[in-house]
Amino acid sequence: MIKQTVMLRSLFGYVLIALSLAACVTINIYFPAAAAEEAARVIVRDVLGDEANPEQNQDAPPDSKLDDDQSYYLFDNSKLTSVAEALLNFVVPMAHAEQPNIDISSPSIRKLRASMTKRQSKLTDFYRSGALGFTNKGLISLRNLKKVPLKERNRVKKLVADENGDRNALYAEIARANGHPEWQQSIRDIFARVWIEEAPVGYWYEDVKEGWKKK
Amino acid sequence: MTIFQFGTVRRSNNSHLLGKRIWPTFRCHVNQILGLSLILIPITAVSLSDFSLQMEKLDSPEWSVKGLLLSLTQTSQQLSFKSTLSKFDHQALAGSVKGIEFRCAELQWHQQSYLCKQGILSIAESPFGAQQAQVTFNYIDSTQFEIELSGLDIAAGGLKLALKMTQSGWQLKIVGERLNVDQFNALMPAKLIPQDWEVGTVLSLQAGLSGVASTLQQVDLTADIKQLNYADEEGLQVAEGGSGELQFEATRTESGWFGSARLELDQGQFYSDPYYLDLTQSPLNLSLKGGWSAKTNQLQLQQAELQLLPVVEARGRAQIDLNTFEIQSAAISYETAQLGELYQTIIQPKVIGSMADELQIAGGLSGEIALSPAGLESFRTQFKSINVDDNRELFALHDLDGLLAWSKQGTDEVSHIEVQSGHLYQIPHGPLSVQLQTLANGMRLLKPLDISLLGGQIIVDRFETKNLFHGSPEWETGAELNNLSLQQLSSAFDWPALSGKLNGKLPKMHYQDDLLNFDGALKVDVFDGEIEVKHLKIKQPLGRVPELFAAVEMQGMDLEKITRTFSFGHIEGGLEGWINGLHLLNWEPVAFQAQFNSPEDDLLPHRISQRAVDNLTSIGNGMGGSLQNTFLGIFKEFRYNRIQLQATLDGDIAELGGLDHPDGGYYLVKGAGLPRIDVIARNRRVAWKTLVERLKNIRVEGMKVR
Repeated sequence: MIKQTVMLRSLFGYVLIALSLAACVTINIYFPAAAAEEAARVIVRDVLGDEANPEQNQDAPPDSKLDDDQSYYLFDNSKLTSVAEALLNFVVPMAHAEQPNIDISSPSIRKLRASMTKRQSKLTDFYRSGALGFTNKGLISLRNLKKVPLKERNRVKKLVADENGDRNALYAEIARANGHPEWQQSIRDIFARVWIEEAPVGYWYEDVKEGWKKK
Repeated sequence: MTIFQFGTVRRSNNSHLLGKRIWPTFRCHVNQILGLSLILIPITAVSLSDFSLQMEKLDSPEWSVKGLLLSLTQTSQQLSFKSTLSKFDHQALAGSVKGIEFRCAELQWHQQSYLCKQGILSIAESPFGAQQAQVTFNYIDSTQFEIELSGLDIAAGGLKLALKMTQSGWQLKIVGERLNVDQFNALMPAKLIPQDWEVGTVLSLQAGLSGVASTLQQVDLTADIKQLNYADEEGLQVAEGGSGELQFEATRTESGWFGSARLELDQGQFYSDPYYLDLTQSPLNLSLKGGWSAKTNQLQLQQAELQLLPVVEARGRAQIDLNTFEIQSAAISYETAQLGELYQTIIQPKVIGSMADELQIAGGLSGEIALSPAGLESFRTQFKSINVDDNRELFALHDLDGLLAWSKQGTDEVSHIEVQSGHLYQIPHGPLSVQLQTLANGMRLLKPLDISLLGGQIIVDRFETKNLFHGSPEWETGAELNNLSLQQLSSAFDWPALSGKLNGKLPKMHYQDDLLNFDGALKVDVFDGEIEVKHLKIKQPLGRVPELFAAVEMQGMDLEKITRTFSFGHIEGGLEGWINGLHLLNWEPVAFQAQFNSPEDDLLPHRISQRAVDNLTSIGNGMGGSLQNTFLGIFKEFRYNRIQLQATLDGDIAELGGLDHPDGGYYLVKGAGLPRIDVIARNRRVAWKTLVERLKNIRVEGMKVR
């Protein structure tokens, strides 16, 4: 009975090791969250300009920088055998060492950034009044139409449509310019958080659980 | 059945008819009590000198009365009447009416009727506040009387009522002066206006209602509207500072009602998502005439007219199901001489976020549309001297006239559009004459379209759209390009002046889901050679970030003409090459594999100038001008054996190559004769940005490198 238990444990250990070794292959295909966040913060601060949240620690690494490798957390929470952990620890740093930077210098990205920066001054008053807010999808939304004077409403709607068009194109283009179109959703998620973090006090944003909130 | 409970009815000592105590309790129907006091009067009046009637409570499911007291007093000079109610409640009122007293000091008996010229109605407490009103009445019996109330102070305004009852029916006239609808609504327990709406306006109105018994037969209303402000909870329906006049009249018919309404709004800003109207400059007039069927609950508008100048004038007829508010059928004609205003007011708000949301439009149009529950049935629109300019300068159409006719069932009428001039991107074109046959879900070109362009012409031999109204729109066309001038093309795009012609046959261009696919090839006759562009496709050609994919082959080119055009430095010789996998994003290259080289059997002389060598060198390593510092600087030209440049771009890295050198590196220029010069590059990988910088820094004249 004891022998069977030992055998089962060994078998279980081998399976875990095999699984972890197989899983290790995926580590090389990771999303550089820290670099993406850094790029997002550069762009967001550039677009928001003087509006960017002055209370945000400019140098402090965001918490998510620990999340360099999204796939890392798949393992971090797993209870692996010591052998598997050792193998994992061996592989993960290598993956980190190869982490590429996020390129945000392509002509299209520059054009989109310039377009958004130019538009920002037209949006500021509406962000401040609460007419517009940052959504959790990395876009902006006309959250309170009543805050917009009647004759301004269609102009603001167009600004929102144009801004969201630029933002959607920006996320797609950053993913494409970095050779990974499939990163678009991850880049959007990071931008969604950074827009909100960088927004100054008084701006409205969409909380996933609680809906619209004011900073 | 309503129960009336009477208290005691006292009589005077000399009363004849009421000389004994009557019933302690009494039951009758509600409608019998309304004229009770005066019903009793004719019976008793002849000999009545002092009469009073008292009831403790009177009620029905809808209303109740407490403490009713009626009294008649006969003196030698006159008869006076007084009625008091301690409390009156009605479910249509927001609160109780208390302390009601009606007093007529002089009740006259005149020609079989009782006449009161100066009655006073006073109310101590009511949802409308305390009231003091003047009352006159002329009472014959319960089927014939007139009563007028004036001086009622309701909702910050004044109200006058006049009721005339005859044997053939009744008429009620209501005159309201400066009634505050907001206050009035607040006083009503059953809100006339939804609770999540904020409404405020001042109404002055005159209404006439007439009917028989409990049936309303006719309504006539004129209302003067001031300070109209309303907003729903989300701000989708809003008015600010509106004013105008409403006229309405309706008469009951056998099947329902028939009438007309006219609304004129002459001030204010109105927003009905997504439309915005500022009526400060010009009023909105809406008039409707038609009937309502009680059986089907349908509104049959026989005549409807909307005038919103200078935006649009429209008129037509419609049948609307009021159960579902669905249009059963409608035929509307419209006209505008200010299409720009129509675009800004009606069209642009509906197309925000599309490519059509940033246009400058002028001109006029007129036409008709027909609607059914399924949607659009047909339309026919005449265009009149229309100019369309895209604010992003992507396209323009000037002096557009024509007719566009479409029917869901198909139409034999030929649509045609004539355009005098315009441009696509920055390329101007000449007159266009388009003849179209519209189809149920699309349209097609009836005869080839000849477009004068860049000194040549494009012949569009066919054009057909599908899924124009339903599904994913797509179109397909075929075109032939004849002798388009490269000189004019380069001028349009502010390129260095090119010479040559652009020809091509594109048998099939297909557009669907933002993708424009080209079959066939474009041929460019330039620099004595030919460039052929194949496998061309463009994603989102008019979108935010257009993408182009293509492959290019070039042969028989004369380098002497190329270098003269671009002032790159003089090179003689032939050139051929190819670009595969060309991918432009927002018209900037992001990927390609390319090679340019001297043809194997080139018969042209091979000579290269010192400046061209310098420029080629600077492309290779970013450093130019090195020859001038050597003894070779005294030679202005050199002979060469072969030029070859390969470049592969993938993202932000370009990999360069040339003719392999045995000792490593690669020749960009392999020299020949004496003095011999070879340009050999060693580094293969270079950042694309760096390479572009090198291209920008080379010594060119008259070329703007972007």
